[in-house]
Amino acid sequence: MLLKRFSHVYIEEGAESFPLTKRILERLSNATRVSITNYKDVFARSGQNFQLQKQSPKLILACKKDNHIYKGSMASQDFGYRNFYYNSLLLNCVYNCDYCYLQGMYPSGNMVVFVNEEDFYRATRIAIRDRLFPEEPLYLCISYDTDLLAYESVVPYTSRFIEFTRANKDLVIEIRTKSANWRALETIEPSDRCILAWTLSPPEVASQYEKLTPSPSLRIQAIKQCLDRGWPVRLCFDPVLKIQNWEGVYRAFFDDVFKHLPAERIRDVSLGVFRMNADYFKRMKKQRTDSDILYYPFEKSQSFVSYPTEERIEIVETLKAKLMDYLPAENIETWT
Amino acid sequence: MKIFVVALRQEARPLIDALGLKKDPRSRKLPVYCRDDKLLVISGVGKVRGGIATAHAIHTAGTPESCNVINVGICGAGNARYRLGEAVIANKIRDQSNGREFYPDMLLNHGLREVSLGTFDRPVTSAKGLSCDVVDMEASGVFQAAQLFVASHEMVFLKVVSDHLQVLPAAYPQMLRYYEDSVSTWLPMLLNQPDLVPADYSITAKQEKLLQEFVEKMRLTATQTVQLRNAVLRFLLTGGETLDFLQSRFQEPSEHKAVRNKQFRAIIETLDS
Repeated sequence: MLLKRFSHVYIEEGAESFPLTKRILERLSNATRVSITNYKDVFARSGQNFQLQKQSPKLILACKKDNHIYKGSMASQDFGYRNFYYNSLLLNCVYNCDYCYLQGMYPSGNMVVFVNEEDFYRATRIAIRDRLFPEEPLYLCISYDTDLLAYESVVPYTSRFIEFTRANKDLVIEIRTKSANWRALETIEPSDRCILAWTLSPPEVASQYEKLTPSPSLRIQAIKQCLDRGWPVRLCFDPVLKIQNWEGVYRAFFDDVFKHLPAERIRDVSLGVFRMNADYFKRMKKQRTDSDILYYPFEKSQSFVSYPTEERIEIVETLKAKLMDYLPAENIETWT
Repeated sequence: MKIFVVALRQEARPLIDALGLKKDPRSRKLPVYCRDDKLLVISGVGKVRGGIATAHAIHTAGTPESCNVINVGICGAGNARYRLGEAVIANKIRDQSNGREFYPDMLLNHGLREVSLGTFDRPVTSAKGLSCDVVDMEASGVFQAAQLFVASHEMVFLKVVSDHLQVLPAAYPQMLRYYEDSVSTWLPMLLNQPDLVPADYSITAKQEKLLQEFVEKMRLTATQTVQLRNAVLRFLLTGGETLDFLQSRFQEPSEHKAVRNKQFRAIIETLDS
C-alpha cells in the first residue's frame, strides 16, 4: 500500500542543471519528479510525521546556498584534531535508528541531497587555507548527519570526496557509516587521509534499535574487506546503550569483533555512551512512544541528555578496560 | 474520519448517494452530510470558501487528530494529454495569486496520475503561460485550513479533468457527467486507503485509569507524574504486561510526604528492574 522508497524526487529551482542531479535522476528514472521553488517548502513545512515519512521517504535535490562547512560541534569527538570541521552534503539518512538525533533535529523524514558539490569543495579549500592551526591538517567529517556510503550507489559523494582529499594534502576526512557497501570502494585506491569509521553495535542493539541497517556481522565483513585493501579504519562503539546485561553483551561483542578483525590494523576506536541535545530529545519523545530507550530516566546536563554521570563513567571505564585487551589506551577515544 | 470537501452541490451528489450520507440539520449555512466515519461538506466556489468549509468540517467531526481531508472536484487541464474524465492526484498545489506552494505527502499508492495543481481566483480560460498541469479554485484554501489541524499525509487532493480550459456554459452538463462517470473509478480507492498511524505504543484506557488513580492517591508532583509515565512506558515496551501491582502495593499511602516519596522511588525501581 505504501509507495516505495524514493518514489518521488523533488527538484529545487536551479538544481536541475547540476551534473549530480542528472546522475541521480538517471538512477531514479522511475521516480515521479516534482519541481519546487525552495527545498525548505517541502523539507521544513509544518505538520510532517517523521516516522511515517521514513516508511516511504522522498528525495529532495537542492542547492545549499551557504554554510558549506561548519566548525565541529562540542558533542562530537575531534580525535585530537584542532582544525575540526564537518559538512552536510545530505540531510537525513537512509537508516532509521531509534536513538538517532536526526529525528529531533529535522522536521522531515525525507532526504535532501545538495547537488552543488563544487561549492562544498570551494568552502573546504578556503577552510584549509584559513585554518587556525596551520601546522595541523584540516579534519573534516563528511558523513555526520547522514550515511553517505549507504547511499553511494545513487549519490557518489564518498568516492568524490576521497578523490578531492587525495588532491588536497592538508585535509583528512572521516566517513562515518553503518553500511556494508564495501564494494563502492572496491575500485578506489585507499588513502591514509580518508578514515572509514564504522559504527558498530552488538546484534542485540542493532536488531532492536538500528532499523534498516545491515547486521553487525555484515558490517564486520565490510570492514575486513577495507582493512585488507589498506584503508585506515576507525571503529565507533557509539552510542553504547545501557540495555539488560549491557556489560556481558558488549564484552562478548568486542571479543567477537576482534576475533574477525586484526586489532593491530585498526587505526583507533571511539567509545561513547548515548547522549543527545536536550531539545532534540524532547522533540523525539513527543513524536513516538514505541521505543523504550527514549523512556530511560536520563539526566539533563548543560543542554545534553544522557545517563546519570556515575552510570556513564561506569559504562565507559568498564568497556574501555575491555577494549584495552585489544588496543593500547591511546588508541581509544572515549566520551563520557 | 474521512472528510470530503467539495465545491459544488453537483460534485457532492454522487458521493452522497454512493456513501449513503445524510444531511446534518445542525449545519445550516454550510451543507454538511455525514454517516459513520464519513463527512462531506459543500464549500461553494473559491479558496476562501474552501478553507472555511474545511475548518468547519473538521470542527464538526470533532476529532481532528484522526481526520483525513479529501478535496474532490472538477478541474481544467491545460494540456490534452490529460483526458476528459481522468481522475488525477495533486502532489503540488500553487496558489496563483501569491505564489505560495503546498505539498501533500505522497505516501500511499493510489494508482492515478499525479499532477501539479494551480488554484486560481477566477476561472482560467487559456493555457497560455500556465505553469501547472491542472487548475481549480479551492485546493490552496483547503490545504491551508487543513494544515492547521491535520498532518500533511492526511490530505488528498483528487481532481477530475472536466475541460481543457475552453468552457462554454452549454458544456457544464457534460463536464459534470465526466465527473459523475468517474466516481466509481476512484471512490473505492479513497475509501480503502488505510489510515496511517505511527507505530506508537498506547497505554490502554484501563492502564491510564489506574495510573491516574495512583497519581491522585500518592499526590504526585507534575515531575513525578512524568517520571512515572516514562517508567511505565519503558516497563511496557520491554515486555512488562500488567500494572496491577500498582494497585495492590499502595492501597494506603502514607500521610507523610517523605514516606510517600520513598514509596514512589520504590515503585520506579520496581518498574525499572
